[in-house]
Amino acid sequence: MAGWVVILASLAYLSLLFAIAYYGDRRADQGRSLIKNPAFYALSIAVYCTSWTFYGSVGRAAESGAEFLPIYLGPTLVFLLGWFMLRKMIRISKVNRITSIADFVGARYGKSQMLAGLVTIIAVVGILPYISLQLKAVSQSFGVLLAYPEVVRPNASGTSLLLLDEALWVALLMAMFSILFGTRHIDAAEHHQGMVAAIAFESIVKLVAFLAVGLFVTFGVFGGFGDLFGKAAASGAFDKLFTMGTGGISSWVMLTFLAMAAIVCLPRQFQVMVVENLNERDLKKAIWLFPAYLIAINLFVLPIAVAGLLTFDAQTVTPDTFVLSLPIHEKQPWLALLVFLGGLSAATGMVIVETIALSTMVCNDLVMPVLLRSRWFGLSQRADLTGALLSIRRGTIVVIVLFGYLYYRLIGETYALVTIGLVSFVAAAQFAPAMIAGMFWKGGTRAGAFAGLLSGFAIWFYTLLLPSFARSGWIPLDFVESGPFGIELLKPYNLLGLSGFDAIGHATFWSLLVNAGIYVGVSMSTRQDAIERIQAAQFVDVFRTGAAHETVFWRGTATLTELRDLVARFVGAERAEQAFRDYARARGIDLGKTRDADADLISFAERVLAGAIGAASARVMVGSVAKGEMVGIEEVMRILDEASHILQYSRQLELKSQQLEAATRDLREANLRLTELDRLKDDFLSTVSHELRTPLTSIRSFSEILLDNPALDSAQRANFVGIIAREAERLTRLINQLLDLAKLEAGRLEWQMSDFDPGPVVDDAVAAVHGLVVEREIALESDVPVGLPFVRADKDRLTQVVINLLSNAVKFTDPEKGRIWVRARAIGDYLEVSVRDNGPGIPTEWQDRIFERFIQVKNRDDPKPMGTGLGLPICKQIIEFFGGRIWVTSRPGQGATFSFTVPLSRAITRKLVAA
Amino acid sequence: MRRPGVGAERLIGLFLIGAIGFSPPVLTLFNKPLLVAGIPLLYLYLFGLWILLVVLAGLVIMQLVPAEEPPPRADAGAPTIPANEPGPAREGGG
Repeated sequence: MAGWVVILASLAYLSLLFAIAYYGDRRADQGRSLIKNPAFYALSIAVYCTSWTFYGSVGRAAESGAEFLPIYLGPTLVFLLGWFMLRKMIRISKVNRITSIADFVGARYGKSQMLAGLVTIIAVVGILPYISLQLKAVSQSFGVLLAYPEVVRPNASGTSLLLLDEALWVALLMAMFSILFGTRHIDAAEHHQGMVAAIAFESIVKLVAFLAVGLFVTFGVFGGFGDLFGKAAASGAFDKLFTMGTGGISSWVMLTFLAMAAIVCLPRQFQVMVVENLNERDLKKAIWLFPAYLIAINLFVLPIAVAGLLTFDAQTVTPDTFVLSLPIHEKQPWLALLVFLGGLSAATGMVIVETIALSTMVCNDLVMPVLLRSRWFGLSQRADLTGALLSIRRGTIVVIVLFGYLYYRLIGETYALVTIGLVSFVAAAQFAPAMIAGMFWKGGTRAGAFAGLLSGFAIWFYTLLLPSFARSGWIPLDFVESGPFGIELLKPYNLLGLSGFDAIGHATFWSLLVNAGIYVGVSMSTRQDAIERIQAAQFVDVFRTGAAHETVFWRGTATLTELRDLVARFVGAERAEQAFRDYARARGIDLGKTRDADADLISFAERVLAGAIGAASARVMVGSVAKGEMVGIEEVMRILDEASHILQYSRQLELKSQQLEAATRDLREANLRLTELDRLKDDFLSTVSHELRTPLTSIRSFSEILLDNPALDSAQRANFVGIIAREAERLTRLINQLLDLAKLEAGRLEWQMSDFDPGPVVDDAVAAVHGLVVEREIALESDVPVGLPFVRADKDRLTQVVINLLSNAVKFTDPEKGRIWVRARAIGDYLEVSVRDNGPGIPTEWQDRIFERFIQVKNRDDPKPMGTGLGLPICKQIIEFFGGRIWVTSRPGQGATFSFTVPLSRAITRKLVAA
Repeated sequence: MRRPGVGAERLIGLFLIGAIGFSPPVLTLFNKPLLVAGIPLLYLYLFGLWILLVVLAGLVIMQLVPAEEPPPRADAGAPTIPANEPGPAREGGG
């Protein structure tokens, strides 16, 4: 394939990346974040998958089968714990404005500059091999692709001239990208949204490319998994790939462990997972999406490795390039180009994020502390330092990338991709004890962390880095083979005679054992000073305290102007102004009227500074303007102790007050109900008295008339006595109904429930009102089918209801041409009975209230009440007791239909059986 | 209502299943040169368990009850607890 095609495609791809990052940054500046979707967060974490995954996994699988997998199983396990561990890391970092892993460790152990510096050095030295791996992979794949349609071994890198070495150009391009999007300005939170968008995009590209080649090889070249693995099994040479040897089992554990440490301890993972995290909730999606990504990108590793071994002679084609060689062998130029771009995206993604993370660390924790202390540099007097900060970071990026290139030229040829990467993993894993224990154990001290890190790093250097120099011929090889000065016990691959591990497992075991052991041991035998103690509490209890209670410990004063100027020097005047404005708004204070900054404000300023120059440097800088001192260790202990007691009490109090609130709420509701009932009772009483008084009054007045006028004629007398009798009867009825209602409501009524045919009941009721109907010349139509299903009710009460409805209908139907229809039907599980009349109907607004007590629709022509106002409420009570419903439908002027339902016996029985 | 915290405990349970399921003693059970459905047994097991874990993690994390979620932070970075009164006023506690 022509070189210009490959180069053009690469440049086009990188330009697209630039465009995405640029767009992402612009959207971020406008406040419309492009990467708000949590999927971006999960995809950016997939920067974990580098060229190592893309090319190296297949190489590893071709050599030792399943051993490529622990590197991805480890992170999966960590993410299952992510809700506890990663969320805590994110919270701690947000509260303390931590911007790198060095900052994290430094801040945890008393904002120690020494410790942060050590972490930075370990990170830079440890990661260089990893960066060189990416350069090697890109240059290898470039060489292989260039030879298309030939399938070749990649050239040795050392042979080409420096300026003709494509790896150098790739390295410089990557550095440029990192500079453009990683160091655009000093951001107090170190968010690089454009970069994250670009990285997420790269994760998609590399996944698509890898899946494409996997699908092509498995289903295009071979006939699916079965065919591929079947052929391999038939050849008999693949048992070692399909199973694990005993050596594989022991390194399996080590590799899983290493990968678990790496996913949290690699500077670039910390950068994307913690520093670039916009919202803690995004973690929720990442907890399953990132492992799912890992599964997807590993699905075809073994098939490609097997296919490669079946197709090529391992002597002529390096397994590390199978991914690319297979499409070339099959004469698929476009697929090959896609694979190359996929590999390029894997490499660029890693280098970009890694260099940005490392440059932040080098600048904040290595260069700045030195510069701030050196008087002759005059930094501490200079007005605006943001420019200086950015220059340092940019320079660092270039230097790191060039060092990575150098490592690649010097050492890279000797090792396979995965082995180089693992060297870096072991270095990064050294941070694990100090970091993880530091988040959950308050006892770790600065001295312990320092000693542990230093010893672990030293062992790594001795057992992995030095031997790699030796194997590349830079120092004599017998150092590896027979130990320094011939001392067998110090052989770097068999320290103290330990055997049974490969070099990586051996180094992992020793370095982490010594590191963790010394960390714990020294921590237990040294004391923390005040600020260590505070920071430890702050980290471990981050979910309990929420935010810093550091203000309690720092008794300093500074003028507001000094503080503002200080912050402005490092983050720029505009951003400083903005930060202070936000602070004032959040607190509701007016900074214009303030002259002296209180402890809270000083602490705030320190936090903002920490975002730009690291916690340790920020502490030093704030200390230079704020006059005051830390409280002593005894007082710190006392306050922390007290604070934890207070927290406990306040949590108990909170619980109590919640219970109290709930109880109060219940009581208030009960009270409301009682008041309402009381009011109803009063209403009821007054209505009842009123209703009773009307007939009583007429009885009394007529009997008085009779008493006072003995001379009345007999016709009149008979009339009056008749009225008295009727009124007395009405009174009796009223009282009977009142009693009924009272019993009903109190639930004291005796019910005689039975199953019976409702037809005769309706007929009986109709017969009962027959006299009235005839008297008023009303036409009554009864439509009650024979053989209705049985209902479960109280027969007498049901009759009472029907009679009541019928007599109402008689009362209200049209006086001239009165018509009443009675109908009974079984509908579903219910019997429905309706009584219709052709009277004046019931106005809509009354239809709901008609079933309330003493509500009567007054006849417009005749204001005299026609009933007691208790009939319908009683019907309602009865029907509801049966489990039915009663209602009215009416259009004014067109009569009213009262209907009710009663459950059928069979439905009730069925329900009982089902229950 | 579910007890708060139970979702998070389930995630720990998944971690333990994974840690044990991917550990060598269990792996040796499947470490046989066999093809099951055309796929090496060891890989079938590894990817099967892996996929299962991720699917379950997804189901658990999506229904974490609100109490387990972090409270929204109005002002990331700035301390939100009002400064306690420092100094000699705080005598005799703890």
